Amino acid sequence: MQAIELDSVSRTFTLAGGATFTALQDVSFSVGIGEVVGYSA
Amino acid sequence: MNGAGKTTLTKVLATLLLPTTGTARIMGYDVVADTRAVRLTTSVILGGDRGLYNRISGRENLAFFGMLAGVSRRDLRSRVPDMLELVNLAEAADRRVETYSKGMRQRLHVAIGLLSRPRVLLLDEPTVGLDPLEADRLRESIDDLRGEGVSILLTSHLLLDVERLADRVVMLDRGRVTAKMPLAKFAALAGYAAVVTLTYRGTLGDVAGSLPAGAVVDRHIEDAASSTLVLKLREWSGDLFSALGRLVDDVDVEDIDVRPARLEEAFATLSDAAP
Repeated sequence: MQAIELDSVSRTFTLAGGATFTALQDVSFSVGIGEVVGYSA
Repeated sequence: MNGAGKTTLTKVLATLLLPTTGTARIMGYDVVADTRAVRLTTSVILGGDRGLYNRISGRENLAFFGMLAGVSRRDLRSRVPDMLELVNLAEAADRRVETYSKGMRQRLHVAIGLLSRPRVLLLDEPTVGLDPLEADRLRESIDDLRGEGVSILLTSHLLLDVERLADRVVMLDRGRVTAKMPLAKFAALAGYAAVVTLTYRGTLGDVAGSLPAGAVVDRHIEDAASSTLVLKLREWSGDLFSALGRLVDDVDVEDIDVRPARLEEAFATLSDAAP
């Protein structure tokens, strides 16, 4: 078992006027027990 | 980079936002179906000016949020002073939070997040607003938690945080994972392992001809007052340091600075290579 497991996670927001904004697209990675994972951009 | 998706991802894992598609689990618990179990297992530290009660003290905030997190009154009695000490707020513990500086508020957020002794910690920009000493103290605390088996997902655009603390790095760009790898490999993407900056007085001979393969002159400025030579090293080697030693034999060395390749440089390399 992993501490954190992400499998193809996406998150889309619908903006005023009906337009959509995809904040997360198909995100997959994991964090092991006792591990520190940094994510940045 | 703003809009990369870092905070959205933290909120999905913290059960504050539902994913549109896909699954996310913490310690085996689904963030949508097992919300309560996820919340009991996980602490999220979002920081910022919100999320604290300004008109009560730091100590009272800690006790209140501790109770919400399910910490017993008995445990609170010992843990609240410990946490205040850990984040260096013991002296200000009984002051109203509205009198706290930004850094003090950030530290109180951290104390609240750690109070329930979470197995998984989600840290969103934990050192923002902290002065360098405070930030360093917090990094040490995070490092101690790792030693205790706490799993940590750390969001930061301050690459120093990632560099100091992370075992692995995930790079998000416009909501997509564009790279994930061990920290050492990430740093290697910069194209070199280290930078040596030599400050000296005098004149060096044929620098490029004196160095072994794997060392490149990045900058060389000779001036009567003070001269600078910057070398980029693809890898560490004894040959290189011997050559450097011979090179500086006849000059007056003022300073030598050696630093490892920085993640900023790896990110720049990756970004340049991206379509």
